[in-house]
Amino acid sequence: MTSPPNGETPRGLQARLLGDLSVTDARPDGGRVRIVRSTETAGAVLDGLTLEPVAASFEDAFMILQQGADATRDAPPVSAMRLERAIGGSKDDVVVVVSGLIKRFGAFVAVDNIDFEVRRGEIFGLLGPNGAGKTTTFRMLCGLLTATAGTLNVAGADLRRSRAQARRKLGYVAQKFSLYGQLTVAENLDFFAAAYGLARTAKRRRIDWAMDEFALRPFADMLGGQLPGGFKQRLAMAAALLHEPDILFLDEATSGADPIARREFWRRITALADQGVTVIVTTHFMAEAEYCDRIAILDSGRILAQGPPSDIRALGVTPAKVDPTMDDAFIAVVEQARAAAPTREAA
Amino acid sequence: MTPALSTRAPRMAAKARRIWALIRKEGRQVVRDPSSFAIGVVLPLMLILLFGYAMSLDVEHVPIALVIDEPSAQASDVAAGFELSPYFTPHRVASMPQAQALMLAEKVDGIVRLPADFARRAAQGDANVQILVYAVDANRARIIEVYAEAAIAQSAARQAAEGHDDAAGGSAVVESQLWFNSANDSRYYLVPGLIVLIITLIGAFMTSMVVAREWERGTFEALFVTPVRSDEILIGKVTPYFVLGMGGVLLCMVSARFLFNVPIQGSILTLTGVSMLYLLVSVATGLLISSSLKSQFLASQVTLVATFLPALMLSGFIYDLRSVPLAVRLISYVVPARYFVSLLQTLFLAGDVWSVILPNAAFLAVVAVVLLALARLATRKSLG
Repeated sequence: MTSPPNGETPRGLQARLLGDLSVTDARPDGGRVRIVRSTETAGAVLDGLTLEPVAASFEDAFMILQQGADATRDAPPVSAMRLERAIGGSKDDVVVVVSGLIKRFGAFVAVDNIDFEVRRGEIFGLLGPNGAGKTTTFRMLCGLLTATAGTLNVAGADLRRSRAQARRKLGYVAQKFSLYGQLTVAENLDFFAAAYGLARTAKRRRIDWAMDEFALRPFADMLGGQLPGGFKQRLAMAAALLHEPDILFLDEATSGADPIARREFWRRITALADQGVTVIVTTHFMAEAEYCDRIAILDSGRILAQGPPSDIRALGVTPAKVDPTMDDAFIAVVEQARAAAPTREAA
Repeated sequence: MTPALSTRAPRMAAKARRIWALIRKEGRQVVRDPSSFAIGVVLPLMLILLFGYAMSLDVEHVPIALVIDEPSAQASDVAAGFELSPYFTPHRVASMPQAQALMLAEKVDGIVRLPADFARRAAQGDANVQILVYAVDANRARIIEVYAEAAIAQSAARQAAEGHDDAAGGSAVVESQLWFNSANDSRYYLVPGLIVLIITLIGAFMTSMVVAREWERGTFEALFVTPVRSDEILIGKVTPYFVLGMGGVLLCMVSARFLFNVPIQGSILTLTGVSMLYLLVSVATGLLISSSLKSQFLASQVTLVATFLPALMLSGFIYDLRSVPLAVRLISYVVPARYFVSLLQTLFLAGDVWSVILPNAAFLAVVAVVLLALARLATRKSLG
């Protein structure tokens, strides 16, 4: 276990560590980084870091075994992906504005007056139990649902008025595989590139980029429906990035994925965010909240808490638990809110 | 940010690219999906063969028992009339009980009995013949009865002409003529009816399934976050099934003309034109149903009840709408297939009768436009 040096985010440090062969695994954990070291002699990446030994977890063991079994992983796992286009604007730009957002389905209030803002290049996480309104909020942000009331501004476009303009700037990966199972990988990419209106040369170039960055070339002629789960997810993400969006929306993108696929996924997300792509995710893996710059916890359609992961974790501090995990904090926040308004439970 | 005029051309180009991509994608799916292939290609072929070769509503070679109580020249003449008729296959039996036994055993569909005094009374001009018909199928029974009477009347007329009958003058000779289906062949209206069924099948049934499938699998969601617009999706869905449906129409026309020798009296151009109209109506119905229901199972059931069954039963293709109860006839006025069947029957069997074609075609065109507009609305609405 180690703490990132001043100014570096845990996920930044993780990305740096994973590039080194002496590190079997690294992941952000409670504001610090959990490292599994391999037998190789330590490279320079560990210099200057204070390492503190901790007990091995089940996931650590899995990563070690998996790496031993998987011969294709001698090289550093995934190269951090490179965007072809630099995202313009500064990191201080607010690219997503949600205020007073309400969504009602008949008498049921799915989203009850929520506000948040996301800045360029941030990874923003929406966390919450099932039925909390995460997906509804998400669908409104992507223009798949119309809000009952409130303001929704994505990449400078008001979603209530100029949906098409906003769509050009956003990419969306749905929770379940939603590409065409009867088209091959190449045909799917070709179709979505054209759906985004890319012309011949640009289309060719972007498809080549996607094939390389997501290592899909060996599967180009395989039908989408026959791909193994992890590759489906890669294909979905590749398709969502073909038009070089400013903002990427990922709905429960890692549910059902193994730890390695999740690690790989987050490495890509981190690389994208570093290059200025704003990423908004929903997840119910609390550990994944550690990758986010800021998170919002939703329950019963309301935001109970929002802020950087360290602030959220601090909400879970009790005399009995001085160093709560994200799980502890999440449960504490939701329970407090439910206790305060017991009548909402019934609704 | 108002788009300048110069950005218009690239925007149209992007739109065209999106539509073309949608059409190509849909085409690939049809070819690769076994169920689409079955409904779109295999089923129409089977229907053509079934309707053309296996199914016939004609009454031919009806087995009947012929009882002649007392042989005579006149009785033999009547018997010969039945034997030579293409409509009957007579079996001579010796007595009425034998004939009745055959009827009860369902070996014959009718009994024709010439009583003992037949020859004598025929000479006087008031011969009586007993006809018994197996009437479980009332329609068929009536046809058999009429044919049998005609056969007897013909033989009476023949005898009158040969001068056997001097006493009974003025016996009328019935000469019937069948218009618009002079060969009285049921294929002449079954094969045009096929076109209705095949268009309904490909147009409505298939389209309703494929759109609902996109909803079920979440692929529409992936599509809706792209800049693709609802009118582009609509065009992308309509085009491939329109082409497939026209292929079916062509197949029907070719097999009607060359395989089953059904005459096409009207112009091929008009026939193609009205088929396109009805195909558009069908595709729009399918799109509307599946955009509203979003489930493959529900959509296929509703489409079957809302389009295929009415096309079969309420279009006038099998049952003449003039002989159905008023309530059913009133319902049939909202079935688009009814108007298409009128058009087809006119074009195949009568010719380009514009007084029939124009109002029916106009109705189909209006329905097509209304349904397409509704389908677009349903697609767009389900977004929000």
